[in-house]
Amino acid sequence: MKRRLIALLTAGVLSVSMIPMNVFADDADAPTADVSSEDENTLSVYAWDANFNIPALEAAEADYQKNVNPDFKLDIITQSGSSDVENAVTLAGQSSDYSNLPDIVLFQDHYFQQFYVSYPDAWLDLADADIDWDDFGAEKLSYSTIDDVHFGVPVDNGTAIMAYRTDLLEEAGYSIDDMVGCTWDQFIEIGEAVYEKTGKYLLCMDGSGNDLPYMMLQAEGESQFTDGEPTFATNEKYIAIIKDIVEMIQKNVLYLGNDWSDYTDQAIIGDMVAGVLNGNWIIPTMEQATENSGKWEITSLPTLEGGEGYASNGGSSLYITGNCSKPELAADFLAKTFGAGSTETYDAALKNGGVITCSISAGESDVYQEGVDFFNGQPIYADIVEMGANVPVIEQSDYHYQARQYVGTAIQNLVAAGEPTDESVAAALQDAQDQLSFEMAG
Amino acid sequence: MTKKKKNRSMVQRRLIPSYIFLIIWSFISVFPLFWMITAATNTTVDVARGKVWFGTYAVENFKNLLAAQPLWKSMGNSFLYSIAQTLLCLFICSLAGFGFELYADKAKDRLFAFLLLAMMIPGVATMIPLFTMISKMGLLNSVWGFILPQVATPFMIMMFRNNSRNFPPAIMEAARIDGQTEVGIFFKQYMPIMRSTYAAAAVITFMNAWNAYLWPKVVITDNRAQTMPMLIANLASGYTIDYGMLMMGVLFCSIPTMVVFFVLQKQFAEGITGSVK
Repeated sequence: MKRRLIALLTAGVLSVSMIPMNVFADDADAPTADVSSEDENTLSVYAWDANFNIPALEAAEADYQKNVNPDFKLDIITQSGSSDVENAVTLAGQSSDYSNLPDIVLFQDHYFQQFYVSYPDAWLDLADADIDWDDFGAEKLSYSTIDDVHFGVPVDNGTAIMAYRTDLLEEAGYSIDDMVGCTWDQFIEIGEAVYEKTGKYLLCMDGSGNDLPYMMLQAEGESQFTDGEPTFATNEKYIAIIKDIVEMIQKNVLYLGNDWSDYTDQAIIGDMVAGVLNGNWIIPTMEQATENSGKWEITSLPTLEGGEGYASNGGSSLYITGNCSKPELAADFLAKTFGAGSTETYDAALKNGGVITCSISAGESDVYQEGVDFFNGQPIYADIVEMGANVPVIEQSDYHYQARQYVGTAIQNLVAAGEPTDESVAAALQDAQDQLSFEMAG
Repeated sequence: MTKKKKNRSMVQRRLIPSYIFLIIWSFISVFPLFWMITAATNTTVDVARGKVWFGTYAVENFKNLLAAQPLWKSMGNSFLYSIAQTLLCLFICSLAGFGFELYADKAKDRLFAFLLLAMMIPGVATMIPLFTMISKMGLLNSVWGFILPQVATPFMIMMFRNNSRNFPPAIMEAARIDGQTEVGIFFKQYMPIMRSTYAAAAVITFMNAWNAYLWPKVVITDNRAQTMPMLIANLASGYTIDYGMLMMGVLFCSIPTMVVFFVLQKQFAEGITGSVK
């Protein structure tokens, strides 16, 4: 008993002694979202990836300090994920108290329109900002533009890449040239050969957040929605795509992970696959399997009828919040860094965080033309910017993620049901469509 | 003698299935902790590929952790919030439990029933009004903003009230005869006698405060004020997660709750069962 009391006291004393050391230490430089206490040269921003978008923001801060205002300071407040920013906006909107928001937020493109409709006071527009919008791909801007008014400045490029392991393709008797512009049927045929020869899947995806249907359909230039309504079951191309996906799973061409971790850690880092298709932000994950350096190359997506397909997935933009204490400074900062195609911002963002620009002019810099060793010396960044300019603009929906969930479930059901037919796929998609329509009806 | 031995070996043989079950169950319970410790010593690729033995990357993971997040600052914040919340919660709830059980009043049961009703309201339902209140009081990013909603919980008051039933009323009578005031009785008689209950309540409150995530996430918008669970969540952010570093952070986050629990384990068990010494 005595010993325990002594241990408890010691632990207590240690704990208390730590408090003054750390909590009350002078830490005036630490970031804060309290916009009312900021000085006139400081802006705060929420971002969520220390290895990706935060270095990009740091690059923009350094650029603005060097070329515009040496006293400028950007307080970057780390969030645990994009959902934290969404939750913060929801909380602010629900309570009509925006004081928890910083000056600027990095926000997922797919979510913006839904959040704008729900909480219009949470955002300030960029109508007066001096930004050359033509320097960005139309597809990227379509997420952050409402009634022809721009709200967001694009940061990272979500252009989809189709990456292949050239050594494994060769082992199966193919090359990357066979993959450029191939049809999905040819892809399945090659995928079967690759699996047979090497035991690796030619494609992989996260089964709990299956983005394949969306990307494959966008590569066809079509959307899952028409005039705001889901049209899964009446879109013949969509039916063909889902049928191909089910077939790919059943023929060991596509590995569908149970969740995100299974997809990235087991399939990609765990070296189970010969191909990866996703937004180019997947590249840092691929690069973790260092033993495969030099064996990868990237190209565009296959399509149903053949020909190169282009798609986009993910990506985010910077938005000024309704709580911003210095809207002019915020707009000027965005206009002169990310919005101006500044090579200083974008080159450093690429080098330090692997963030690929959406700005067409910034993509022409020397840094973008350099070959990347991991991808066999291919200048992938310039290639991605070029591909990004070709991504077709399709109708977006506030219910993007709900659609993904219902279609993902339909795919799992079809896989379990055996060989897919046009009728069975159409019926499964009709179910998914009905469920989504029901949810949309509220 | 031989018969005794035979009996004992029969008993032991009968216990074998229980032992097997317990060994398996212990393994299932301990394995995640073991993996957490080994993962903290491995690279993220090793962790992702399922390596479950110790590696040589612990120092590197620790350095990465220090570089990525303000570990000591968050640890200090968590200690400050948790200790402050525990001390205040114990004082207020025990005072309430003491009053509810040991003083006679017609309205107290009705008031207590009303208090218990609060337990039925899910925390999420009160989140937005609470946020508005705390924000209007100017307590965002402060210790008070963190602890105020939790300094008096119906569960803790109920626990103290229930355990106070074992507090001998004769002691109160004797103390009154000796000239002690009611406040004096609480501090000098009630508190020492109820120490097991205090220990159990301290463990529960400290753990709840230490592990709290949702409310701090709502009320703390400042990296200077973030707690350990928020730090862990920040480590798991982004498209690429460094599992080695993450597990090192989880290890640091788990140590204080483990220490508190092990130190107060015996009193915790006594307090939960309501014993009084």
